[in-house]
Amino acid sequence: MSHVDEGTLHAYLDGVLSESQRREVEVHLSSCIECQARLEQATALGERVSELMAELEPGPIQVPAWREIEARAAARRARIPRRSWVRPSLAWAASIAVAFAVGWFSRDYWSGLPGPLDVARKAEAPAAAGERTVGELETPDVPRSEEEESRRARAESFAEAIAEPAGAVAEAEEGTPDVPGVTVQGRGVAGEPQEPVAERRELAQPVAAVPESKREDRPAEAAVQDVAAPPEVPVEEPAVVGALEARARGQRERDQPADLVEQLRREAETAHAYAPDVVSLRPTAAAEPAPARFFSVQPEVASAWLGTPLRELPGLQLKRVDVGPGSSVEGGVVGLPAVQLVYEDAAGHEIILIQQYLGDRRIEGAETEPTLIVEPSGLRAYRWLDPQGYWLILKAAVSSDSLRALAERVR
Amino acid sequence: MDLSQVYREHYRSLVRFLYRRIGDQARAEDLAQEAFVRALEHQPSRPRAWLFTVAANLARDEGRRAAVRRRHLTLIKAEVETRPPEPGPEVALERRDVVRRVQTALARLAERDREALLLWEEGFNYDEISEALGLSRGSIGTTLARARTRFAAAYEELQREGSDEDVAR
Repeated sequence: MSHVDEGTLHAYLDGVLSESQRREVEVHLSSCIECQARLEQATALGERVSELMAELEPGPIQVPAWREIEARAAARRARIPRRSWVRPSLAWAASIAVAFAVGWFSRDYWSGLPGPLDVARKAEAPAAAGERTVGELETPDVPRSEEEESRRARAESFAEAIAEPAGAVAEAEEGTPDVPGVTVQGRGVAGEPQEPVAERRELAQPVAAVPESKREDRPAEAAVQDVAAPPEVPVEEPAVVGALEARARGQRERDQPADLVEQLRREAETAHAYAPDVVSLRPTAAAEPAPARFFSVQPEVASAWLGTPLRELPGLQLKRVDVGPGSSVEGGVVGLPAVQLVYEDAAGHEIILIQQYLGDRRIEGAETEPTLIVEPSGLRAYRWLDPQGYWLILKAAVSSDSLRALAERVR
Repeated sequence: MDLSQVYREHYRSLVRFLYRRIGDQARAEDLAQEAFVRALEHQPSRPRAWLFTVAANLARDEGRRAAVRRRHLTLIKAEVETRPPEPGPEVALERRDVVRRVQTALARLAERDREALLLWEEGFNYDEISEALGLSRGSIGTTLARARTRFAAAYEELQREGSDEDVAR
C-alpha cells in the first residue's frame, strides 16, 4: 500500500472508516515511519483545533419557548392569504361603504372644527405652532381628552404644513372644492377623532384626492385606502397590502416637491396599522429631522414631560431629545406624551428611540419582545412594550441585527 | 420526528454553529429560530441535517450582505469600546484576543471547509456532513484535513502577528 493520504488519515482518526479500511490503514502504519509521524501530527492538529474551537463558545443561550416558534410560523402562514384575488373586492366594498357612512354621520361633528382658512390664519399668527416654548406645550399634568389632543395636534399639523409651502396657503385660502382634501387620518383605533372638513370633501369625492396624473397608475384598492380606512373598518389584509403599496408609492414620490395635500396624504396612510405586524413608521424617519410636531428640549424636561425616567441607549452619543404628542407615535397611545431620543453611533448612523410611558395602560396586541418591523422602504425598526410599561420604537438605517443588538441595550 | 423535541435537543447546538459561523450571538439565535420556523413550514423528514443546512444557508446570506455587516460591526465595536472594563481586564483582554483570532482564522477558510469543520464540531458524522454540504462522502476526510490544517495555520499566523504588534509597542 502506498502512503495513507491525508483525508484517509483524518477519517481514520475520526473513526469513520469501515472495518476493512481501518485494518488496511493500520497495517500500513505499522510498517511506515513516515505515516506514523503524519498520524501524530494529525492527532495533535485535531486536538489543537478542538481546543481553539472550544474558545468560540457563545454566552448563555436562552431557549425561547417552542410555542413562540410555532407562533412565528403561524403568523407567517397567516400572511400568505393577503395576496388573494377574491378578498380585495370585499375590502373595497367595505371600505367605501364605511367611508361614506362615516362621512355622512360626522357632518355635524366636523362643522364645529376650524376649517383650512382658520388654521391658515392661525399659522400666520405671531405665536406659530413651531415657535412655541415647551411651557406652552400640553403636559401630562393637564389631562386632555384624546379627542381634544388629537384634534389640536391635527390642526397644528395642518397649520404647520400650510405655513410652509408657498402655494399651499393660497390653495387653502381659495377654499374651493378644487383644493384636494386632506386624506384619512384615522388609524382604525377606536376613539380616534374624525377627519376635518377637508376630509369630508374627499369622502364625498373620493378619487379627487389623487392627482389626475397619477390616478391611472394607482390600483383601485390603493385609491380606496386614500379615502377610507375609518375606525370601524374590520381588519382586511388585502386592504393592508393596498395601503402598503400606496405607501411604497408615497415613498417614491417623497423626493418630489410635495404640496400640502400630498404631504398630508402620506401622513394619513395609516390603514396598514390594521396589520398587527406592521406599524406605521415614517419611512425615511432615520434620515429626516425630527417630525414636525416634536420639539427639542433638555433631557430633564423630556423626563418631566414623560412623567417618568427616560429609557435610554447607553454607550451611544445622544444628539438630541425631543418631546411631542402621543399622536405622533405610531402604534402608541394618542393623548399620552411622547419623547424621542436621537443618538448617533461611531459610524454616523442616526438611531432614534421613541418612547411613551403607558403605566398601567396596555396596547392591544402589543409585543412584549422587540419585534422587527420592515417598512416598504426597507427601513428597519423594532417596537415593543417593555415590562416597565414603556412603548418603545427603535429605528435606524442600519441592519436588523444591529438594531436588535441595540434594542437589547435599551435601559 | 417531533420538531419540538428536535428543538429542545439541538437549538443550542444550532446557535453555537451559527455563532461560530457569524460571530454574533444575538443574530445567531435569530437565525436559529428562523431555521426552526422554516422547519415547521417544511416538515423535513430528517430535521437535524435539514436545519443545519438551512442555517448554513442563512449564515451564507448574512455573509453576502458584506456592506451592511461592516456597518453593523462598526456599530457594535463602538458600543463595546464604551463598555466599562470587566473584572480582571488583562485576563479578559487576552481571552478576547484568542476569540478574535479564532473567529478570524475561521473566516479565512473557504466556506465549504469552514462549514464542514463546524458541522463536525457539532457532532455530525461524515454521512451527515456530506448530505448537508452536498459533497461526496469520500471527500469529507480530505475537506476536514484541509480545513483543520488551514485553520490552525491561520490561527498561528494571527498569533504571531499579535506578538509582533506587542513587541512593537
